[in-house]
Amino acid sequence: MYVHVPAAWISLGIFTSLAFLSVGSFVFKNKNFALIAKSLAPSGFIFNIIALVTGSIWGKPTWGTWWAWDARITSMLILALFYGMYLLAWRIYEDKEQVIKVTSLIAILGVVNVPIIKFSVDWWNTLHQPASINILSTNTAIHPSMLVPLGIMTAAFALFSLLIFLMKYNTELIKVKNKGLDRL
Amino acid sequence: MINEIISMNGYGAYVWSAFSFTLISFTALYFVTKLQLSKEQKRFASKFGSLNVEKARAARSQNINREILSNTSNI
Repeated sequence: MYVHVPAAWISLGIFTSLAFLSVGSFVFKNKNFALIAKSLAPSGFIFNIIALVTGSIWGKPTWGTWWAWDARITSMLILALFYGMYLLAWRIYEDKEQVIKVTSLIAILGVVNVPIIKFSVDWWNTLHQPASINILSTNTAIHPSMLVPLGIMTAAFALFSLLIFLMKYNTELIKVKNKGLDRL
Repeated sequence: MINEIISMNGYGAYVWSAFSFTLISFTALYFVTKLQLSKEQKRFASKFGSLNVEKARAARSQNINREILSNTSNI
């Protein structure tokens, strides 16, 4: 739980940020939004894979199966596919304008899946348990002794994704400067 | 005591494999990102080295270029 839950939260948070940044890049025509989104995506994808794999590992002793085509798990798999398409698009397309359009479209289409993931456990009868924590109310199904380590792990994962983002963003900026040197 | 931590009432294999997978993923992501960064820094330094005196002076006048070069010397 201390790995699976924070990984799922952060992967959802990062994908939502990708969608907002993509809208920003469309509206303001600012390429920096696209660079920030591109730098965020790898850590979001890894967190999504971690959430799926650790969920599957824990599914075996609790549900008796590694995998079930349950609404929550399937929608998380779809999110991983959107992350995969987003990252692949950056590799496939060489034209800068085209790649920004395609990746923005993927992020904006994919974000529709985020509320589906969130509410899948309420809308459908799923194997996956309903949400145990509600940030809008003090009513939580988790004992405080477990909430503290969960909060610490979430903060640690968020810091790790921030570190990866900064390294990746630095790499992207140097790539831009490399192109600038070519033009000198 | 150590056996209890490892076995976790029979759930040890699941808990530790989940932690191990996470640790391996984090390590791989960190090193791949670090490698990409070092590669770009080296490319920048080699391109900068091949510029003639006038172009190098123009490029050096930008703060960001100086920052990248100062990081490259630590590689």
